[in-house]
Amino acid sequence: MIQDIKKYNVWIVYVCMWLFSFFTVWYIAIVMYYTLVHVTQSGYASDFIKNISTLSNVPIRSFYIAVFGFIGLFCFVSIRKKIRFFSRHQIIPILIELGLSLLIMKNISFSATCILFLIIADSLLYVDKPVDRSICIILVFLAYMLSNYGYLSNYIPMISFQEYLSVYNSKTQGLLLGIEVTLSNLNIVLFIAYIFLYLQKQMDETQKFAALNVELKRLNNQLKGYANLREKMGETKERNRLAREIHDTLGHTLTGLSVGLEACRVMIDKDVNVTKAQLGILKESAKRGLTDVRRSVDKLKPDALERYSLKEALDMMIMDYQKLTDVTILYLCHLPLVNLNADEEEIVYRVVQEGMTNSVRHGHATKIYVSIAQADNNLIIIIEDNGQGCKNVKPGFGIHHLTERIDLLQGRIRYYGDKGFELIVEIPMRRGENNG
Amino acid sequence: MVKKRLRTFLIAILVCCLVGTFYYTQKPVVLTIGVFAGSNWNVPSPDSGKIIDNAIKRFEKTHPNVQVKYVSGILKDDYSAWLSKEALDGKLPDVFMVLSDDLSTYAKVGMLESLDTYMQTDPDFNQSRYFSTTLNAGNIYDQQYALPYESSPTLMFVNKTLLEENGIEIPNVNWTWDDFYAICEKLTVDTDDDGEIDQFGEYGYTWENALSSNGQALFDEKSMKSTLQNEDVYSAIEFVRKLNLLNRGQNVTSEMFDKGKVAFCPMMFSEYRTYKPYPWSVKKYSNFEWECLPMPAGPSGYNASQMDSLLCGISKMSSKKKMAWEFLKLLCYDETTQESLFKYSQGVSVLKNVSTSKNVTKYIQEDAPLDSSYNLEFFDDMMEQAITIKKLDGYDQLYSMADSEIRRVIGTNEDIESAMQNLNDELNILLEKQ
Repeated sequence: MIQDIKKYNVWIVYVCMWLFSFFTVWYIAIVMYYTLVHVTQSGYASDFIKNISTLSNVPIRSFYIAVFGFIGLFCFVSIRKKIRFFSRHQIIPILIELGLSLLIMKNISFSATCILFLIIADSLLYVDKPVDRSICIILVFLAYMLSNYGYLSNYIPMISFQEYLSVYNSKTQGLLLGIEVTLSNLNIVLFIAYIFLYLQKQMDETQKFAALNVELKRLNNQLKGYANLREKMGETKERNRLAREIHDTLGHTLTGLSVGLEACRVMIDKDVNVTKAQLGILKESAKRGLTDVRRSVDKLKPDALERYSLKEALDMMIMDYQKLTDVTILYLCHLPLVNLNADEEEIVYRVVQEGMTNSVRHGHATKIYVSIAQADNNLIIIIEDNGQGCKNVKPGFGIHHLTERIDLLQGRIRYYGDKGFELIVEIPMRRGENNG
Repeated sequence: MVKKRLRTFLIAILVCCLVGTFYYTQKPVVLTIGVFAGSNWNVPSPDSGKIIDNAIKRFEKTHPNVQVKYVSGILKDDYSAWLSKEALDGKLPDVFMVLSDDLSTYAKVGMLESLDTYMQTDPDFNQSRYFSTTLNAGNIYDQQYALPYESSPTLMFVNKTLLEENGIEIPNVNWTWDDFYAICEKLTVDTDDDGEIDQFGEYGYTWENALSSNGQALFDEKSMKSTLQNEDVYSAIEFVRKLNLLNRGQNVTSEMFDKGKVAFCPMMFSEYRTYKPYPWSVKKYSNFEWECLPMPAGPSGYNASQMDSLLCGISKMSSKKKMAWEFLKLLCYDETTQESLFKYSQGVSVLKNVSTSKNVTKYIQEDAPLDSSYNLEFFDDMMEQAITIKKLDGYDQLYSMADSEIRRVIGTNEDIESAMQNLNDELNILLEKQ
């Protein structure tokens, strides 16, 4: 803020306004004071009293009240920022300043209204809320309109500056009044300059904001472009990987198969038995190839989890699986599956994947029930099928691996093979921790 | 923590308040008053300070915790300047004397507290005890800003010796212009036959005296309009012109009166009081006997004379206005103080029936030379009929303008009616500016 003000010279004008206001107040107060001293000491007091319209309370004290009041006003404005209460109620310090300035003006018989310019300048700088600022400015402006010796002398007893001057000869009167008018005009000019610079600053700021907005829009578009590019690059990467996988597994196996089958075609006429044996080997190779393909596909799949939310990933996996196999999968999820940690999401995905694979691979099931629910603070995944099941489940690599991972999360895995296969996994949720 | 601090703070404030109140109530209250030394009527008055001193003593007795102070030795001539200076310095006394010339200024600039509410709410105060004329002297801009302290009416002084020598009886108290003129006419003669008049009827009888006794004034205080365009004014001026013509151009001086060559001279009562008794009687008017009468009544008026009053008011800036009112009452409403005016001062009481009280009669008789007596029976009537000229702002200008014009008209043969009409218009222009 200060930087901005300095940059726009508003600050310099503001300081000048303070200086000249003080000078004006001081000038008027001192002229009044010395006139009184002159009048009382040279015995013109009764003539002076006859010529004035009203007498203020203690005229001789006005000088001190005006000058020290002004210094008080300056000090208040200086320390105002340090008082936290005022930063919340910005209208209050402005009102205090207004009161002080009215006190000062009363003591110089409202001959200098330049202090109110200061208060307007101050409220423009200091008050942040537009509504408060408007209220302040309207109040100060009203005070400015009414701060007129003509109106107020009917209600507040005071001696006008002109009445003070009336004790001097016309030449001195002209000089003293001239200085006062010059000072008042100077204050007005400074105020106009201040308002001009302030408006300029406001306009510049608006322009700067507009420029910033344009820049922001441009950057946003750029960002969108980058996001698209990144997606495309991801796709390409994915394709490359797929190609490599196909090449490494399917390609290798198919090449072997094609070569082996070619050999079989040559050999079948010579020796059928050898060919049969060879075909057996080829079948094994094809099976291995299939396993490899499966593994590749399995490896590819978790990417879905990386790219999509858990819910979408699960939906997609289940749909895909149904399409690939003839299994009917009944999937029920009783909770929104949001706010899970990455490792939790991973395990949920893996459990469902492994469970379904097992059901098809080992149980030859035609129906799989997948349900995800919550009990207390545990996430519970149940996968049931109508397959063969087995009396004594020997955990294979898949289950073993899952168990290890679930243990890490302090979860629990149970499986029963009596009637179909049933896999129950409980994972304690750390959702609360995440939400803070 | 904050609460504790706040509580400590509040307790501290409370203690300060209590200590302050205790100190304030125990401290003697100082009431300042503004008075000047000497007489308001420009006559020697060595004892006038005694009235104030006695009043202060009595006030301090009835108000134990009060001290009344005043700056002594201020002369009447310096008093206005001194009081104005005190006002500008913010040290205006709580109660102060107001010269009748200053009343409008002080009331206008706000040095004087309006006394209307005090007068209405104070059960001990009965304003009908004042002569309506004296009380009215402190009333300006429709408000009572001051109470009268002492008054001095203008009386007609009669050179008793001169009248007796010429075989003329002293007129009674209800005498008229015609009586006045007839005596003057008789007495204006050339006694030593040197071709020049050396004995005169009157000295110092002005158009103002004539206007007052014919029920007229320069302007009306309510409407602020000049009232010179009036038959009674014309006849008053005509009367003064007639009196002047008797002298056939001879200039009468005060010296002639002092030598006993003039029969009548309007003078203030204070002067009468001063120069009648010993020792001052030796200094002035020693070669003839003299007496005082009310002013002669015009065809449309009474035996009304002008009256000047010394007023007393309360400062608007005073912080002890209630006490100031008490003291003001002691000066201006208390019978003892008012009676002592006759003993120590040359003015007269502003209250009814004081001038005829036993004490006053005693005081006056103490003063009186053996061969003469005061005749104050007409006094109360005269006071009720007296006219106080309110010196409003700008009165001086108004007065000097009217005075010079009317004096000029009196000295010439000009038509009074048209001259007064012109003057009336001019005065109205001035008055409108007020």
